[in-house]
Amino acid sequence: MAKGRKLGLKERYALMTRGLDWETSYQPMDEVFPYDRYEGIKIKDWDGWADPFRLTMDAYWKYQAEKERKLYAILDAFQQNNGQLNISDARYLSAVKLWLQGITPLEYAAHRGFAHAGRAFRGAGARIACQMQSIDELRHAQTQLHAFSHYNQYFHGFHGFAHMRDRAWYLSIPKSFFEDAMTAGPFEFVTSISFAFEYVLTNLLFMPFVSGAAYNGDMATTTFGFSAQSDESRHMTLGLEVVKFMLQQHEDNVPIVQAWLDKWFWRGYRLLGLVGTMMDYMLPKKVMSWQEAWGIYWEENGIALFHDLARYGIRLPKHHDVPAKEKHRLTHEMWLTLYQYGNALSLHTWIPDDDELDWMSDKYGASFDELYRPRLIYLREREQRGERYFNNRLPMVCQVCQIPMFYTEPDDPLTQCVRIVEAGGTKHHCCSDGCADIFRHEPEKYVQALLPPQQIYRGEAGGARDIWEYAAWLHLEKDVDTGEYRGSPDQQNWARWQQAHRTKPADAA
Amino acid sequence: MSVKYLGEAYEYPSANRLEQYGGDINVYVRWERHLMFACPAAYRVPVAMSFGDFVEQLLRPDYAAHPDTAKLEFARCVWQLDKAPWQPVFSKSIADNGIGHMSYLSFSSPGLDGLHGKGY
Repeated sequence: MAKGRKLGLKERYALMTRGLDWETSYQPMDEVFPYDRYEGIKIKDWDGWADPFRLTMDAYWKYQAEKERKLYAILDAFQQNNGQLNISDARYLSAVKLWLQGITPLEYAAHRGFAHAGRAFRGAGARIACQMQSIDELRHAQTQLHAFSHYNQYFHGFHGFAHMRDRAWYLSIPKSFFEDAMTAGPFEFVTSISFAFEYVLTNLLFMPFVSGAAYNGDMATTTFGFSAQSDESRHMTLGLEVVKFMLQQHEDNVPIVQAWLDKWFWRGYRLLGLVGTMMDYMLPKKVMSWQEAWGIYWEENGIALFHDLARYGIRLPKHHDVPAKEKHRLTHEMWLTLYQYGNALSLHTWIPDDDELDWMSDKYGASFDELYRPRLIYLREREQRGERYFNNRLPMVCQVCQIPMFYTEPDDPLTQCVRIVEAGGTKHHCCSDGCADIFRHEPEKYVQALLPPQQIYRGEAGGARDIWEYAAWLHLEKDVDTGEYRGSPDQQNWARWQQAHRTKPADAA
Repeated sequence: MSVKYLGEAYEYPSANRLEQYGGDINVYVRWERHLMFACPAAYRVPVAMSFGDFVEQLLRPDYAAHPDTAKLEFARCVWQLDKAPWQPVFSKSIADNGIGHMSYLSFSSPGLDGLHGKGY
């Protein structure tokens, strides 16, 4: 075969994207691509789409294969060297369990969502970017499962993530978040996931988790985090690109995009409360507090980004100032909620040690000392006298974010926030003005939400009549997978292994 | 506002309908300034049950963990139904008290202000 002239990056990109595309002739393009118009987004010129990375499929495979080889070499070494013994403390694994149960299935959902979005766009550049991201997301789900699977051999609570994804009350939070995005049109999907979540809020997701993993000695998780990092930066770029593309194409797109940014900022913020709680409570060695992370990644970086978008007519998302009022209490309220409903969680909960409480006092100041420290100490005293507190009654959950309604009023930390919304003559309840606004925008969508406490009462949770039967239906073994960390099999095994590890002669093989 | 959609119509039933409860209803209750119960709680109750039985047989056992519960007198509490002032009649049924499917009840207990008087 004759060797041709080597193509430049730009030329190659044009050939491998636009050059592979064609106008359909047997069917009108509008029939072939029905999804990219009904949301009201107007595109004058699909060629206005430019992938800043100019990545083509052949190069993509090469890069990904190389990363894959490195990742699995390190995972092998981690497993063969009993890497599980090097983590800071077995309590850390509650963070890993929450990730496996809550976030890994989102990677898979993202794979499906981007496959759909890629099919839906008539522009070849957008289609190929979505195709690559779809494959990335599938890879992230797989590499996370492979990295975490090692822990499943030694610790409880890792066994049922796929079974629980469609059943567990706390996993309906991330699941419903993604299904809300996937059941929207393709432009809203990429705005929600690529822009609001991956571009604006991703630092709050990856920074605490991957840095937290590194800080807590989890080599497996740290390695997949690094392996995913270059993909994430490509996804973030796609997110920014898609939003700018829509805003540049037609001025009628601006209010539509603004409404999506309002919605997905709030939904993303609500979801990230779980990650904040992971940072403040589940990491035995803390990286930074939720309050600090919110300050840096939203109040500085996020707001600056929105100021950059002002030239397109975009303003800050609605309710953007509410998280500032909640940032000193969000994670404490959420942990106290997880703690009391720990009877139906596939992870352990506990009251932090004194040095951790001191860290929180240092990070959160007077409000922590006045409100939350006394609660935590009270609960610890109860546990020490054999009265570990659990709440056995199902909670009210928000019709939109599906989070149990523990949030307090933005200006009153002692009163739970409840908003009543109506649709079709029936009342529903939201946790905040942000979620209530989202409900009112599309009531027909959110009345269909499957809320776990309601499913249980309707008899749709394997016939479970109370929280204990419900936990069994989730395949959770009481006091083994669930409940208090202190005294759990995980804690006892960990203590035993650490003892053996420490007393092992230095020269032993 | 409403959903944008492809196709003829976007009509789907609510997921939590009265007829799915076999004559019972789904209601929610919160005890003000007792955040040891982190969230308002969800109940399935028969509409013929008296309100007095509801609070004593369902609510009180749920609140057993709280030190204030021993002193709690439901009849002396200040009640709200769907965030509006409301006076329940304890001898009358849930239905006759005007409580319906997806109603939201809340009450405060004068003199009982949570653990350490700090709303917990």
